[in-house]
Amino acid sequence: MIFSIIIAFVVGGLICVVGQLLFDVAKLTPAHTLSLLVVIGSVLDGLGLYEPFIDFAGAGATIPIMSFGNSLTHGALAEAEKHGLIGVLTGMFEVTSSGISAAIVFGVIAALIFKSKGKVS
Amino acid sequence: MDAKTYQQTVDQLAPKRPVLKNCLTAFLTGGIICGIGQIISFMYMYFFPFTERTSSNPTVATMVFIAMVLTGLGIYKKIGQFGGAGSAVPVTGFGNAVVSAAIEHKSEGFILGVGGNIFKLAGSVIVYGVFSAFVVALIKTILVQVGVINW
Amino acid sequence: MKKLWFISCVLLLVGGCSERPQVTSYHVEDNQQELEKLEEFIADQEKISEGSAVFFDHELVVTIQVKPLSKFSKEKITKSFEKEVKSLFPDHKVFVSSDLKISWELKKIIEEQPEKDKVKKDLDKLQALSKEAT
Repeated sequence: MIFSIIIAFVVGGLICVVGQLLFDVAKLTPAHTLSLLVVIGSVLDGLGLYEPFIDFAGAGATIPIMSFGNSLTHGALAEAEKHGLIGVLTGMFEVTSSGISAAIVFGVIAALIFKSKGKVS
Repeated sequence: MDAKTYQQTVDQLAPKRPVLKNCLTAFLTGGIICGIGQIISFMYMYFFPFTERTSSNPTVATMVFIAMVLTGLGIYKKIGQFGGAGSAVPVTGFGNAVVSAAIEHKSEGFILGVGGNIFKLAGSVIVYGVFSAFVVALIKTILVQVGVINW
Repeated sequence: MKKLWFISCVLLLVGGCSERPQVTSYHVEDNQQELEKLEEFIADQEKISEGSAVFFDHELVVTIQVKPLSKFSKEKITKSFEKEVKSLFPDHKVFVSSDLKISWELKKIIEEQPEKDKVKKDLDKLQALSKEAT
């Protein structure tokens, strides 16, 4: 079990290093980098490589933003397998809502609780 | 001066980024966040009826909750300055982007300010995530139906 | 100090790689022959670090833990393991899982050693849990 935590640490760290290289060497903005990583996650799932990657690295593969692309594609493919082409549209958010829903819900809650840090000039 | 010379001057005068140091701090920050995520995942598996496959859902939601608290208290900004990509790439970075946008635009009202601007930083992630999922799934479905590959 | 750390890391890695799988099992009808057959089969598996099994009324529930470094092919290993167990016990309804939580739950059932009716309920609950997708 400890070994799983170490692998999650290493793999998660390496993915973030890739992100950092995209920041510093390729000089991409954070929005560009994150969008690129999500698309990469999506393509990897299309190739059938992301699920085995999750089996290997656990949280090291589900916590980085790439897993969004993976779960969206995974849901779409699962529905398409059952219902044909229309499943590509209907299945996308079936298994993936926790990250996005949580972000929206906690965003609103945070807006209710916390004070803005910006200075009004 | 023309655009090319201007750009060259800017590149020469801009402070050099310490790439190696940034990569190291990104590795540490991202690794620690994912390590904490793995521990939280094990805790959900141990105390609740979540399997390995389904434990990623509550884990991600918990990480976003932690990001909300750290963002609201102003701590996530400091983690971001230290870790760079290490704090932006994990889902906590996404949560931080959404929550900080919500807090900053509170002054403009909840409907127009919070509601209209909450996805200012994180919107491109969702848009291109959905779009690429659509394209990839479409291509794979067509290839399967034509008979080139199997599921 | 550094040398000691390095040596212990190497030992841990090597130790984790060459251990034979540990098997825990429970047979409701106490058929030692079937238990031994399965235990011998699991012990020969190279990529599995531990296994647990419960035999019940021509049903067989097996959970395995794949070795960490082979986890990338966990699905393939599980599928081939399932095929081989099914051919080993053709008249049993076989269910195999490689999920960590399912392993823990099955070990709890093995420790409890419950009676016939409770075993059926527990095993059904286990299989329903492993089918959950969200």
